[in-house]
Amino acid sequence: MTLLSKATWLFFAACLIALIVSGIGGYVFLQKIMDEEATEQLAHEHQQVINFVEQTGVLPERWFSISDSLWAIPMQTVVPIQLFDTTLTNRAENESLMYRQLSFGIDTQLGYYQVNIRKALYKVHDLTKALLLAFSVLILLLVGILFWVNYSLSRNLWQPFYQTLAKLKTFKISEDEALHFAPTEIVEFKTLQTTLEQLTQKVRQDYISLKTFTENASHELQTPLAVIGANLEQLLQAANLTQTQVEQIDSLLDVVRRISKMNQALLLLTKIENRQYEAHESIDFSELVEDKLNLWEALIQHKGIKLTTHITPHVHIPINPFLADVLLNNLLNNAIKHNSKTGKIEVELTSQAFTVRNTGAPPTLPIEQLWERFSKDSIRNDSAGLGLALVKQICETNLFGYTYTFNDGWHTLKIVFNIY
Amino acid sequence: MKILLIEDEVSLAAAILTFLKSESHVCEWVSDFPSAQEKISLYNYDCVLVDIMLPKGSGLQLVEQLKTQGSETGIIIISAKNALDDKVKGLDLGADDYLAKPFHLSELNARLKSVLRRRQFGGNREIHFGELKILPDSKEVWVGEHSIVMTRKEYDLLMYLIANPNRVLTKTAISEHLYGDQIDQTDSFDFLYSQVKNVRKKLTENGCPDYIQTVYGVGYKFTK
Repeated sequence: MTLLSKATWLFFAACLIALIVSGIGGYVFLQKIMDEEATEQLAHEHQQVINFVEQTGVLPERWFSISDSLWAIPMQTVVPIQLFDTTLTNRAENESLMYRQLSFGIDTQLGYYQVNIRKALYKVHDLTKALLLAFSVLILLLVGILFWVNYSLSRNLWQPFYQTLAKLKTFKISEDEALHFAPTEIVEFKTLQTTLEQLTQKVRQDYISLKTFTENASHELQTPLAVIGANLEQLLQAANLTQTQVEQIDSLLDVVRRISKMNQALLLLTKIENRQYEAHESIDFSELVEDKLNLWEALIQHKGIKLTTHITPHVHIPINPFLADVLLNNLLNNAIKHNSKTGKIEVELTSQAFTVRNTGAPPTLPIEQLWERFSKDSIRNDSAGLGLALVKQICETNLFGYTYTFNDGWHTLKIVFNIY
Repeated sequence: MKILLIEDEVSLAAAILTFLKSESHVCEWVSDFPSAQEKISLYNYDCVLVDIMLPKGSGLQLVEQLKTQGSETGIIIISAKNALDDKVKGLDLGADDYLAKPFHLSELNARLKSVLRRRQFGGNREIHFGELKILPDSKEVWVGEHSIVMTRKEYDLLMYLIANPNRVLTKTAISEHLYGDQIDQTDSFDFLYSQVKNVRKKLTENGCPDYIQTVYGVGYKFTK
């Protein structure tokens, strides 16, 4: 629900409640006033009759000059004053109508009478209804206009906010340019923009310093490793080395290489996490897969592995070419490495997914752990266990789906390009 | 050949210098940006090995300076910054090659020789080693009057060996050169072994002495 529709709905609900409450209240209030008015009129006519009798000593002859429904009945006994409502049926229209009646006794020169004055309440009710209708129409109209004014006003007022939001969405931490918002007159939005500008500036600075730190840290580590490696290689050239010494130097060289590889992989993971490898354009994934398979074909053949490929040509995938390369290297390397003797590899590429299947021994690790860093098959100690962690990170960065299954001696790794 | 090494890490520079001198190159070494600037503006070198991260400046600026000077010097960037951007930037600026630290000295040697070869215009572009003759432009291998047909990988292997004569080359160094560092080592060692066997066979069958000496458990040595 957007801010605008939320505000509109709340306003609408408030209007509706106000309308109902004021409608009911207005109705009750009007009725009460009309009711009192009817009683007052009856009392007024009562007084007129008394005055007339006091002045003339007799009841007025022309009743209708006083009231529309007034009659007198001679009485023997004294009657009390009574005010009551009564319902009578109008024969002509066949409907029940409400009347309010005032009965009182009065002494005249012609004897004691009971005077009844009756007033039709239905006219009052009609009036109430008419008033209420007019009132409701007015209020509805008012609410409608207010509603529209509020909506369009909010829309305009919140415009800078939406612009700011849209701008913020385009913010990329790895971009060199700072965020600049469209200027606005409203203080709150100005504050928001300034705060956001400061915040993004800070985030970018932190990001840059972190990036520099990671690169420097890796630099600091790679150089000593290069020194060790270079010196060991020179040492290996010495003329009078024994076989044991040569092998010791070689194993040291191997360790140096592994530390360096691990360092590079960790650095790469950090960089991917930092989203330093953005996909600027789509690349021809089919071509890349073909190239990679061509490069490794001889090795695959040499290992006696049978390779089957189903590659749909010209599958374009939006991914950074370097990451695509890393992804393929890791997937294919795994398929070769964890294969059985005279095994098989099946590579399938469609516009939706890339699948690498290979035969091999069942995994020694629980499947969910395979994607974690430094989790590796206990039998192989020559890998750092970062390959699938890299694959996972690359997939997550590019919003690809990834699954691994093991069935009937087949490892299946599937990358789904479009998970939406 | 006259080579300038620009590297701030003393011990690494020392190792590289010893190695380059053993390859009978004339070698000079500077460790910071200003002195490197001075050297390259005053003297001519056949090749410059430059680190990117230097005290008081960036190696990339030195590459730029060399290019604006219109220098014919070969440039190899050696850097711990294996950042793709730097690599692309460096090559765009006109560097001939980019080598990420840590690297094998024999790899540096092979790249250096390749750069120097490309820079020698009009020179004799033939490589001789004993009975062997290699024409790098056409990728031909000759033993006496016999032309030897080799696969691309076999040719690359031979070139790598011939660039590093009389040195013990580890299997790791060779396989990284041939298949890149992405491939799993244990897989490629076995493959390397069969390729070395093929090359050896092709050479000896054509009357070439066996120059490839096996250093048991470690690697190979190309020697007369």
